[in-house]
Amino acid sequence: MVARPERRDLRIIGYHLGRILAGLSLIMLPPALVALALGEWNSATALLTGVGITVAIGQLTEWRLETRSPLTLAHGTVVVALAWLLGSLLASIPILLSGHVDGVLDAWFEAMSGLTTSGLTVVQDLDHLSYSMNLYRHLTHFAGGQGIVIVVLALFAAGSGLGTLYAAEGRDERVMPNVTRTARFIFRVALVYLVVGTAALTGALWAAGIPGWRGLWHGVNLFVAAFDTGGFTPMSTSVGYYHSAGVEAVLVVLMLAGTISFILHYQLWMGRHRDAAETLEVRTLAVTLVTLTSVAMLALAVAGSYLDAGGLVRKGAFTVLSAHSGTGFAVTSGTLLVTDWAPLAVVAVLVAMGLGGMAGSTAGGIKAIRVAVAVKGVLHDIRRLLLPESAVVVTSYHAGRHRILRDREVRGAMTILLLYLATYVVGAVVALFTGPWTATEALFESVSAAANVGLSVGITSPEMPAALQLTYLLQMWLGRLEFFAAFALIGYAISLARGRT
Amino acid sequence: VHPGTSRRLPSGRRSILAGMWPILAAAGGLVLLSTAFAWLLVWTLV
Repeated sequence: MVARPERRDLRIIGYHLGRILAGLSLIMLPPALVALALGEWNSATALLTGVGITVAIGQLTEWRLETRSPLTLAHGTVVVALAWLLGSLLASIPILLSGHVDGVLDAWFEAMSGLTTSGLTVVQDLDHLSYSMNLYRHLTHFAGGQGIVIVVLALFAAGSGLGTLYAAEGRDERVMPNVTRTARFIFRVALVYLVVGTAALTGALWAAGIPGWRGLWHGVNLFVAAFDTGGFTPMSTSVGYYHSAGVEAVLVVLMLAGTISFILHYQLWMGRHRDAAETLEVRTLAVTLVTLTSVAMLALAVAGSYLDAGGLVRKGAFTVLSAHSGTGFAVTSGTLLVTDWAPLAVVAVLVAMGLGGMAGSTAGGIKAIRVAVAVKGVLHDIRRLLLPESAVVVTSYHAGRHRILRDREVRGAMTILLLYLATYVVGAVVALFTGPWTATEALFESVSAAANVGLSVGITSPEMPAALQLTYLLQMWLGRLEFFAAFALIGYAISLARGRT
Repeated sequence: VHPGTSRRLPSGRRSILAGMWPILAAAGGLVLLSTAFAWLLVWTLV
């Protein structure tokens, strides 16, 4: 029996939670200013209301709950799990007030999809959403991608317990020994990519026929969605809207940059290219990406889905990368995936979504390192079976340095892998219970939600059943937190009710 | 800097732009490979 938390524990949790939630006002303010500048008064009111509520919550927690007590790992984990749940609810306020969603659940779904960098959308009449509100949607990718916690870390880096919050968010692979410096490094990398990526995208968009400041606005939004592996786009037809090979080419670079871990960014930044190339996770990602792309293209060519090389690359290869990186940009209508695409190509996209990118990036899914460790673990067991009983079997891998594969690492990877697979299946089963979809469609959409990808075969829409929408919402939350922070929150809630005093 | 530690760590960092080119190369490689594969498929199958 776990001990029942005391008032002091709740105060610590409430204080840190309040500070994180107050940080959300920072992503509402820039679009609010854009709204004022463009005279989008409805959006300005909605966004400023959001700013007011989040700032008020922050001030209230500072005033009523301020504490200097240290944050334990249990506190940090509960804070993080609650921050994503309540943060998305708060972030949904401007979306709800925009009038482009049908009720609280739709707004919450949109905000959760944005913050978890998923990209599934239920906004109605997206093509006529105001510039400022659309920018806000994309900025939720930025806040969630760089981590709600890390945003607060970088901007308000002071006080105790910061490292605890950071570890609880599943990003314990610190680039540098100091958490604050790590956060600043991550922001510096993002900032440089923002400047270079937005410039390249804007140029490509101008060439594609979207002139002036609208090209820049599309460029900023697309950059954030690609680099944070989010998948929201300003237009309802996603990247297919631009019909531009140039835009797609820039997005390929940005999606790749987004799906690799910040540790790898750091290694590349330090010129340790050889170290990076030897890393097990990099090699795994390269193998799965090339294999799945080849399988999809081969299946599409055999089935005659695309009859030219351009179609195979710009539709087939792009979609696999979009899925594998966890971005979810679409260059073809979702319904075409199930009606016109070869089934094997759809399976390749599905597997790519489920596997996801690298740990320590903004990508979702199982992650390449877990797949690699699980496979190495199986090979290790086979070797142990084949060799004499007295033989000492040692399996090693490269991750920053040479490491010996330990049983607990294999167990950890297998556990998370199994939890992801179970979540994928549960979401599919709920869809089959609640709607007229086929098993493939149900599984596709479920994997897309739980792996925080955002590709859709058309199930996610404003008309979808509420039970299924809530399931996807929870899947996005669980997938982002990689389960354990969410389980800890549930355990904490139980100990509050039934714990030993 | 302690003996045996690279002088680049931690202060003498390289430009972040220098960290971008391997990613550009990887993306370029991926695009070239898939284009070549696509041509091969079109040539042999379609």
